[in-house]
Amino acid sequence: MDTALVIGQNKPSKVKEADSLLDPSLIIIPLLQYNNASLTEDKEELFYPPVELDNFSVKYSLSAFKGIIRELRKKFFDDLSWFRLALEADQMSLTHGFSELLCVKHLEEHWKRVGVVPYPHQIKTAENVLKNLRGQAILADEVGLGKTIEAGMILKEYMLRGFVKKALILTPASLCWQWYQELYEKFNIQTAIQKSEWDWEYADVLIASLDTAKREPHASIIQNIAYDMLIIDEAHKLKNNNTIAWKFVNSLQKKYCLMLTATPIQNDLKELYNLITLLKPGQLGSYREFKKKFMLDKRTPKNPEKLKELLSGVLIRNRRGEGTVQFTERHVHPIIVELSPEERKLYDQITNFIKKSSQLLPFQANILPLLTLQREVCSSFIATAITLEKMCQQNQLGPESGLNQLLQDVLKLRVNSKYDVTERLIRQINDRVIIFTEYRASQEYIRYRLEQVGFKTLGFDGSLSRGRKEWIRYLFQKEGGVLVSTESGGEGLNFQFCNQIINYDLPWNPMRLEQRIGRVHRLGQTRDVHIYNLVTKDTVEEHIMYLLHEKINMFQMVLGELDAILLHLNLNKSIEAQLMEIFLKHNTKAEIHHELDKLGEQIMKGREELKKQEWNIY
Amino acid sequence: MNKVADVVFNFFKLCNLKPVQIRKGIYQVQIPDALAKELDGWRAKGGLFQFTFDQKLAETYGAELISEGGYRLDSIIKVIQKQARLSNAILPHTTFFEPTIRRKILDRLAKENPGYRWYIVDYHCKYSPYFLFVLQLTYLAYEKREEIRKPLVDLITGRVLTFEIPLDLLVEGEIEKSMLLKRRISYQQAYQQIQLEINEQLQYSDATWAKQATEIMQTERERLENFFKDLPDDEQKERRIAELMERAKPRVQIRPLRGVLLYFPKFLYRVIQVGSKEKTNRISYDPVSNHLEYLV
Repeated sequence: MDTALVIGQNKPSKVKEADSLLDPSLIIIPLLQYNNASLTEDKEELFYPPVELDNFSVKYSLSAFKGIIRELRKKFFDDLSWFRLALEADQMSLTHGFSELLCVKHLEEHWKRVGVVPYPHQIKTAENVLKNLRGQAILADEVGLGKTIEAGMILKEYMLRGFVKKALILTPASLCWQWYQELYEKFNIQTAIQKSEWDWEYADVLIASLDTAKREPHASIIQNIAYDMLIIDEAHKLKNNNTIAWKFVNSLQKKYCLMLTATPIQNDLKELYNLITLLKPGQLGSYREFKKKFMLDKRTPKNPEKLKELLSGVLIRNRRGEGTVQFTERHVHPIIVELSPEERKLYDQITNFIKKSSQLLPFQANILPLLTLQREVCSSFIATAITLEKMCQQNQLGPESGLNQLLQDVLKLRVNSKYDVTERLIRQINDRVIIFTEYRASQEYIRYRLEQVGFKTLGFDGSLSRGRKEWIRYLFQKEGGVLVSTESGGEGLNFQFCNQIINYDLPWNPMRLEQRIGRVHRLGQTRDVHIYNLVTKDTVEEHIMYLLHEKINMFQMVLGELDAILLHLNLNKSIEAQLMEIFLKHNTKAEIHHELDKLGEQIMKGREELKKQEWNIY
Repeated sequence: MNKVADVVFNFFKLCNLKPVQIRKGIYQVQIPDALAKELDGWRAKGGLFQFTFDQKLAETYGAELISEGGYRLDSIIKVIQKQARLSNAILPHTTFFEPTIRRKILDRLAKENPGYRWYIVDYHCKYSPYFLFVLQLTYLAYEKREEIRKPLVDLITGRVLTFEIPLDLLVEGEIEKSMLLKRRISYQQAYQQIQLEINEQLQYSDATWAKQATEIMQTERERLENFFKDLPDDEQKERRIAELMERAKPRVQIRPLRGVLLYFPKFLYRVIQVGSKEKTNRISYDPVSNHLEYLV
């Protein structure tokens, strides 16, 4: 090294005239010549070219040095006391490997404020991903164990340590908001939800729908961005390597990658191979090798111990039970409501009208209005009146159908047995209560009646903006009272601070019922949850209750389990349509129960099959 | 905990704020808008800030807990770290007792030149410029470890001194020009001297971390090579290998976080050597590095 060091110039820097007192030989310092082209850039920081030592390379920041020199030229000298303090701060902010999660300490206060309690299995998983799996993992916990929390912790940890700046989260479109909210609320991570094609480059942490991302013009833009971290929710959708989604994800540049799925294999070991290859190509060798070494047939693994060992390098699966999450108890209280004679008469009239009308031409192709009417009649007569009025206006049926008369009778009705029971129940509970109903009309009616007798109520429905929903949630948490919500209103928001739910009407789709319960009975709920199901005696509602409570024991299923079962069963018709068919075709209670038994058995069989599918390799 | 409290109180002190203890272990301070924005972002507003270093007190009285690794301490640290990129200081010559130095020099001269007698004719003191670099060394592979080193460069000789400078002895300020020895190397040269020195230190340091990372990286690389062996997709292979290297390749990044321009005293002596013939010499003595030099 015998040339002069020059930074950003090609000529040697000017060395000042030496003090004549000193030996001039002392100032001959071996210098190096660099030009701008040889400098390396890393995350907007300029470095000198790396020096290769025996075991590693070393590079020195030029940007940081220039920053100091700039201040030196301007003679910006700070107080020495600040220097001493800054030196202590520098020491305190050093990271010392992954021995301890920084995010747990960093978020401790924040978690206390927002009521997040990380579970030991989540912390253990995050540590395992950071230390052993080195940021590439399939998080395959059973449903309800908090995969999102684990992914959030890992992302936060990498961000705090400066490993991750640019991250992309790909989820089904319906979960974008939920991710946005979870990352902000629980981890203080500011994210953006992709809306335009500019967002891909602009946002540091971006949440987007996988379906949008894989399409042009988005796909080409994303493929040119080097992501520090990629998170894919519901990753089982990438089980097939012939799909556009799989190929798209495979083409992305990603330093770290997390895939979240509760079912990494459903039917075929190849699905698992495809997922792992996407994450870490070569981990299981080529497909031919994998097949030879680990597959007897597509559902039977060969050499499971060896496979297990290989999988432990990329896949983490926590199961319910000791060491993971102990949910609080669910107490289900079916409350039978007796209709008054006037209500009973009207209910029978409407049910007969529906049965007769289903044979008529306008409803043979589209049964939806009748389906709605049958469901509404169990919820409230107010909701029924609105639908009847609409049907009258559409004038699809002739005057002989009796539709007008039916509407008049409904409007004349003054008693509401279901509401009376609800009011008594709320007084008895004497705590925060969430009342769920399917219909806006029922929601408004309940609120109106409760306000009349002095209850403080809050309304929650799908028409509210995000901010408004947050505000109402805050008011409910702070001031209590009764929150009357429609299903869509509750989506994406959690109310662990409340443990009393009244199902004013029962949705025919069990998934929707599960979503209602999931709003309060989830991680973070510290009290037992009480679910009051209002069931009108000798109505369709009683049959629904029979199916959900007695046949499939839905209320004791874990969060997400039913979703997995229905996905597995892949039914031709929706549950609602099947129920409607049963109710229309059969008249007696015994016949209906017989049909419901069959449906229930089908669901329970699906559950058993799913349990059998629990692969013994991870 | 004392360390955390010291940092926090010193920080407020340097911001000209005086926290008041409103209950044992709970403090309150009025934060101005400007500082609130520095601490919590541009939307934040100032106000009364109650804090404690005790978790139990935080839970009982709702004061904000300041603890190691916690958000509040992190935000304070970040503000502090933005300060003092550059400072200057003097190590006053009065720190050293000149008669002791004189005796030390004469003893040393006599020892090194037996048969001669030495007398000091006169002496004067000048200040020599040094530059202290505070470097952050980041060891990167799958994990990340950081450390601080504070090498010092003599801006006249280019020598790198790696011993700790007692910061408490330093006094803020600049030296009168007539008392100052001229800097003979540029700051860029000084930085390069530091690089050479640190490279040498790193070369002989414990590199187990790098060896382990290299081993894992090689295994993963072999797997990748094997996987892509029969596949025609070279672009994909190269991308995956590049990602692996970025994730795993052991490397050290070094950033100067801050610097201090220091002035250390240099004692300059005129001495007479008495033996077969008489000779006058000029000697400089650096009391910081205990370095004696004959001047031409």
